[in-house]
Amino acid sequence: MSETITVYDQIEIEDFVFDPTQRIFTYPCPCGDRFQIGLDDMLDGEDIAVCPSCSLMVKIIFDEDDLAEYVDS
Amino acid sequence: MTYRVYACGSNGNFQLGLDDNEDRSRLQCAQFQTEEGRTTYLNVRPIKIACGGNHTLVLLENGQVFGAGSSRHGQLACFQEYLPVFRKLDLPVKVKDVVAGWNYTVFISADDEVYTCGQGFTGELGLGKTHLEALPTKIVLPDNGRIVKAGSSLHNVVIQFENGELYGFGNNKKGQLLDGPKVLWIPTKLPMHACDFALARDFAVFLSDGRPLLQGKDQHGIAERLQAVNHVDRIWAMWSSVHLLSGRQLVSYGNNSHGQLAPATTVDKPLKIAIGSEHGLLAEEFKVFAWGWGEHGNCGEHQTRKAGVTFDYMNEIYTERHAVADVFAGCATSWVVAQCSENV
Repeated sequence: MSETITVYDQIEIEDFVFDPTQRIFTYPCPCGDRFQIGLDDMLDGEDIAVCPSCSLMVKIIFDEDDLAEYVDS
Repeated sequence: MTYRVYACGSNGNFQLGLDDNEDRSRLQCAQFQTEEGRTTYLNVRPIKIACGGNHTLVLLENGQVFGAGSSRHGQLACFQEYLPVFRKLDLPVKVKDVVAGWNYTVFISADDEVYTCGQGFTGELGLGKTHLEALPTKIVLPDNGRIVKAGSSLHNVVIQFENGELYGFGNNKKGQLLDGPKVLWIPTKLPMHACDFALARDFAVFLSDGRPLLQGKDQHGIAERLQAVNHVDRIWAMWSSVHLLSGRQLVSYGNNSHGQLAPATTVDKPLKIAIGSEHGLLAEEFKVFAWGWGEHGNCGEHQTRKAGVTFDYMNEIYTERHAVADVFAGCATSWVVAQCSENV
């Protein structure tokens, strides 16, 4: 992960909605679309959720332990 | 007197009411489907424009509400993928105020009843745990007299009664409404009295005795800055910042990742201010300026040598000759209500 990325804001994992079928977390973007990040990417250490419709990004705040319940779901 | 509604910005779900889903960086006339046909002129004054994540509501002075944009979850009082131009909504009551959040809408009736519709997974409809999606349904509130204000963020709502009591429902994960459960499934009396308030995404600011008090997640150190503020006339919030009119100064605190904090502005004469998800509008009689995050055209086009999605200056966006009656702002959308002297 590049250190130069400017994140628009930081959002806790409890605020994201998890879709167990697609294994992605989503959260509203101020443009009307939704920030997305894959569970598998998070297991690999990724913590930046991106919006498919604009350049905004948010950092998702979580501990590795938080992911266990989603892996099992 | 006739009125026109001009819009620009994010339009992926037809929320600008332009009969297509292309973003706009120049203000364009919203279209209304009326009994006489399709028009861009209204004979009744639009008194409020409320914006959700992907839907827009225009409240007219006669209590009718028009809607455009996504209604996939019933947020425009019907289940339809989208309404491409503004259409009159089928509501059981005459409406005096309307507010919207991500996928939901709240109507305040002329008789001070409250109806909600759309989708809310964290109590946004105020109808209890079993109603996560609904067409307009009356919610249960105490008989407290007149409702003087309704406010919303993307996922919670506060209703203010004339006696000063506040009732809130929806997302309370950051304790922004009260020290209590993470979700308020039904309208719940808030402990404080306030003369005004503003709801941001993860915090709320309540104005009590002229002093602003922040509750909830304070990632940008706003509460400390507010302690130094001793006089506030009006208050608004973007998703991650708060904006105060204090005397003649518009002052902003919070997230400034994309120029959201208002450029230093002294307000010389009465004017209109509108605050969207991450941008703002300021209007004089014949001028409208935008600042903040403008990636979808909601802050117009740069008129200086600047480029990019940040508008850290007041960018003039309105070029029509009609007087500005009001301005409103949503999720990367900007709205100007213009008063036209001639009929067409």
